[in-house]
Amino acid sequence: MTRRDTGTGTPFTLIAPAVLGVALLILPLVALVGRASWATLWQDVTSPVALDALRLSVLSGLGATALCLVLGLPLALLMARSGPRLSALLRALVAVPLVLPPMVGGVALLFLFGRTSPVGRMLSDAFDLTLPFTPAAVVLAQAFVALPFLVLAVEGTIRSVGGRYERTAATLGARPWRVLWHVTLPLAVPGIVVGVILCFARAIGEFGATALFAGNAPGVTQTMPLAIYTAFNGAGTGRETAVALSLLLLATAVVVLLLVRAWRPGALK
Amino acid sequence: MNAGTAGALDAHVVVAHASLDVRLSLRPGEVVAVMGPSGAGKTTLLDALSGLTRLDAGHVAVDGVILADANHHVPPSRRAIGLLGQDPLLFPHMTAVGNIAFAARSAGSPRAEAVTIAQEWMRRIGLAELGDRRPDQLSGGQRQRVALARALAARPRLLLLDEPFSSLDVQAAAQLREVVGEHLNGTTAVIVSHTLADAQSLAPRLVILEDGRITQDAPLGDVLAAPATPFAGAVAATA
Repeated sequence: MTRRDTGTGTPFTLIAPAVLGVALLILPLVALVGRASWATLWQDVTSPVALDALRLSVLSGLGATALCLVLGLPLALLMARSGPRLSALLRALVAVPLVLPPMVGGVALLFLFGRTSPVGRMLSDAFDLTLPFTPAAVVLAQAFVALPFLVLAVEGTIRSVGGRYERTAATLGARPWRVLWHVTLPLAVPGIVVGVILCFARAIGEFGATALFAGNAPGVTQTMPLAIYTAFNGAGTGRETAVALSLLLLATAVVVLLLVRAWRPGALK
Repeated sequence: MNAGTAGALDAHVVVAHASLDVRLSLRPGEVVAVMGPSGAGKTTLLDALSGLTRLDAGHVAVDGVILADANHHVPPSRRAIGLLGQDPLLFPHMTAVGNIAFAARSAGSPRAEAVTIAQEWMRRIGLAELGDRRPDQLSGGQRQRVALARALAARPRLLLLDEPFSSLDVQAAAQLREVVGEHLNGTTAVIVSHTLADAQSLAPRLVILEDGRITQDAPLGDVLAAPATPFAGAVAATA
């Protein structure tokens, strides 16, 4: 049942800035669509460079989201369950990529995993593995900037819905793993869904950290944002291509949002 | 198939805590009502027994086994002490049968058997037709019945009932009291209550708890006939 709130009205004078806010979000996208050259659009978005970039973006975005789930769910659980000081500390650490310019993150990743660093040398000696400027570096850079979105969304949900039901499950004799699988995680599904959407969206939009840590090699590390930047700067292709690729990225994001929403269980909406 | 109660045990309950000093001996299958003014320590007693709070001093023992003291704490999941509170707290993402089966599974039944046990419980509490409903599709009284079945399906050696009827209307409360009386079926239980009707319908023995101490512990009729304290007298006056 929905009911309009009639008790507390919103002051009328707030409407103007609110409308301007919407305009700020929508008008640039309208301008983008307006600049599209529809005649060459199909050709632009199906060019080998565009398709390579799209494939790489989707795959690396999925990879980064999977990595964030594997690392982020346990971290969110730990944060939700630990005492106020530890969880405040963890939350501050997790938020670092949110406030850090992604470029800085890229440089930092490069210094950590580069050939000259102890970690990079160890990976190279032990596993013959070099991360920088590989598709794996794309995934890692995306996961670095996207992880906070997943962790913070999931942690908030677990904190707000979990406790009472988890205690009840314990008094019924359920051991921690059973509580986690059958109570905590199912109840956290709405937060996990939101976290995954935000995480994936942030990952496929990633530019700065990827550019510095993974580079801009077409077909290897050139994701959509890097392809757009390259096209916009006119290296071989024109602005029309940049616009077309931007629209493709926008469409991809919208499709992902719609897919995830359709999958979302109705009972927990 | 045994769909419910574990073998009944003697329960010698000792809760010694800063503000609480309670020693209770329950015979197997005995149901004891605990009444006391607000702040007497009823909730502390239940939380200490179920393990939902940690003790910083004192100890909790049931059947001579220390469940908690200043140094260690047996987690609630390993105590086999069930709890039915005022709020049924059914898992909202599971059906009624799913809720009960969860408890049976946690008590060690294999998956298929747990579902059978849960369906059997739904039949016993008169809700056989509603097994597939989710908690938000049940009435308050129905939810509390499912919560009772769930608590018993976990096969507790001691069941704590914390004002289990107080959020229900008079009629639903009376019905649920009957269901509880019928299905405790040998489960040793402590029922904390504000209402004499709960003791009258379920517990032949009444314990009066005041300021963390037991001030009277006697058969219900004796407390009503000869209340030991003004509070016990006030309770008796509602008979």
